[in-house]
Amino acid sequence: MPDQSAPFDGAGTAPGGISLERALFDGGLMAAAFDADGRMLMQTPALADRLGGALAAQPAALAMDSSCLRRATPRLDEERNPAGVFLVQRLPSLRGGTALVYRVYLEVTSRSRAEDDVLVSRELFRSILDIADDAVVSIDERQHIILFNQGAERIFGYRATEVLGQPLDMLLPRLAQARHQDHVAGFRASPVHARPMGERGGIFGRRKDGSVFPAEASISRVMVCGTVTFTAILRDVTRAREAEEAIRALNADLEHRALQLENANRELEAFSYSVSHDLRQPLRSIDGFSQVLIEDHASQLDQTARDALGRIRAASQRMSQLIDDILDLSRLTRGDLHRGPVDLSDMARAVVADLARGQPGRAAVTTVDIEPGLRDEADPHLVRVVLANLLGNAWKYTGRKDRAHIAFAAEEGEDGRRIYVVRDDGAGFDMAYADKLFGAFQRLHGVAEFPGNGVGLATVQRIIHKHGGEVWAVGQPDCGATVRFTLH
Amino acid sequence: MTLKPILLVEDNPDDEELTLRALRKNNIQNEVVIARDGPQALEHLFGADGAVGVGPAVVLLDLKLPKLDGIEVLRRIRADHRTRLTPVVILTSSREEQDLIAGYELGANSYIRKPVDFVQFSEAVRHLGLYWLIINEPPPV
Repeated sequence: MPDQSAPFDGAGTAPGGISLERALFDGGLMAAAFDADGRMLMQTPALADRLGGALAAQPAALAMDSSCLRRATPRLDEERNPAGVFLVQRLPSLRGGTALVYRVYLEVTSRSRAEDDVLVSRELFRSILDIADDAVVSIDERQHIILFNQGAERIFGYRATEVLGQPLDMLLPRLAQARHQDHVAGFRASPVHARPMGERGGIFGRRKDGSVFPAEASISRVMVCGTVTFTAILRDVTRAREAEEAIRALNADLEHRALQLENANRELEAFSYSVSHDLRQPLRSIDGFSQVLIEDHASQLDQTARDALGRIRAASQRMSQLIDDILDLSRLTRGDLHRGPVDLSDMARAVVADLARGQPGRAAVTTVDIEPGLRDEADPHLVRVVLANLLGNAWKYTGRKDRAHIAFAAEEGEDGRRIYVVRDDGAGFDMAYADKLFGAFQRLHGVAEFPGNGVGLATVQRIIHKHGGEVWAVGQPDCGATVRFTLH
Repeated sequence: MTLKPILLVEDNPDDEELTLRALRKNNIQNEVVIARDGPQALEHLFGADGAVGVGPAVVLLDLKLPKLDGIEVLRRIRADHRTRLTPVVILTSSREEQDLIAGYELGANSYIRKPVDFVQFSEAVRHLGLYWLIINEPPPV
């Protein structure tokens, strides 16, 4: 902003053609513009506020000599007079001719300035006190209340008028009164001027209704006109304490649950261990001694008996496989997840190659489309199990066709997540049973139709959930199945 | 030349019978000494009075045993200078990772999971006998 108090003695037009209004009203100054005949053209709102109609009504003042102005304008109050008028701008008037713009200064006496300062600081002090959420309570040396702000009114429930001049004890729980007096006395003698209260255990306040609340406070000691005053700034921490208590309770609950989970995991581990060791042994006996009968007593067995023993052996071996599958499934949920870079396209290609190698006599002419370059962060070992199961299923359920098509690709979901898709045009399934698809030991096809034990998709689901992803499937009988999954 | 015995550490009588049968069927002639729990196994190896008997050609060691389990038996076998080189084959039901790791860490020479299918089991015993009793050169006594 240019120094507008310097008289402007330029050529008469405002630089850049500034309009009179703009020049006048910029900055909220006290200023007025007059024409060459001394008539006031306009004045700023600030000046109008201060002097009212004085200027407009006193064309005689327009010689614009400051002493003249002073005489011309009425005294505003005891201390304030116009103190000076300076020509600051000559501007082309809208009505033709030249407008003279004057800036008006007020004289302020030093006495009124000091009082102003007091007024301002008192105002500032009061508004700070009143906007504070905290209670601000001052007491004199006799521990009588001399200041009680709005925060204190809210917290203690007293009006300031009810407590001013009263002993501080009315704000304290009865049991704490003596201790508090000691505290204040101790603080009075201490060399520090301010410190938090209640360092050793909480402090409490008492409301008008008698209820006691936990508080946090600091106390300061100020010497005013030779007497000591103490000011406490105090906060009701009931809610904070409740929140802390709730957090403590939640934490304890969480710890309890974590412990339970840990115990459950340990028990599961012990259970698996025992299953692994003990459940297979009887099967070995069943199978082994059936074989003993077949080998050592063949002559005594007819075809039916031999057939029965064959079935017994097959069943025990199948049960042994089931036990292994259950153990594998439970091992998956127990182990940790180790994420690392995975190229799912490469992995899918390797899985399909394994499938083709494992079944050289496969009848179906199978086309497998694998989208290249599908990289992600996941547990490589577990993702391999997922792909082996999903592509293995696609392979299995297209086995009865002449021509089969299997695809592995990715698409983008609505939320931007990448969704992997394994699609085949094989036996498919009825959506009515879709909810059974991912259950352990659930099968939608007879073993004679398609072999399997029903843990494949359950395993897939566990792995996907362990990654924080989802897996779902759609299908139609004889038209194929599509399984989609995410890894995050 | 007298054949060194095989020490079979096995608490389950059915498994004992099936193992003996598999050994017999595969014409393995070595005497089979049977220990039905951990302390018995150690007694056979170190003698009740601490005297050493004839060291076995191979120890077939089950893991889940009464009193001292197989892992502990293995630890003591490896800790004693008289038996630290003795071939020990863990022959058990489980393939729990913790068992495999503990077994190999303590110096098991081999870990075989007993198949439920007796034909497969017998085949495994045949391989085992062939390898540890014939192909493998035993450690010097």
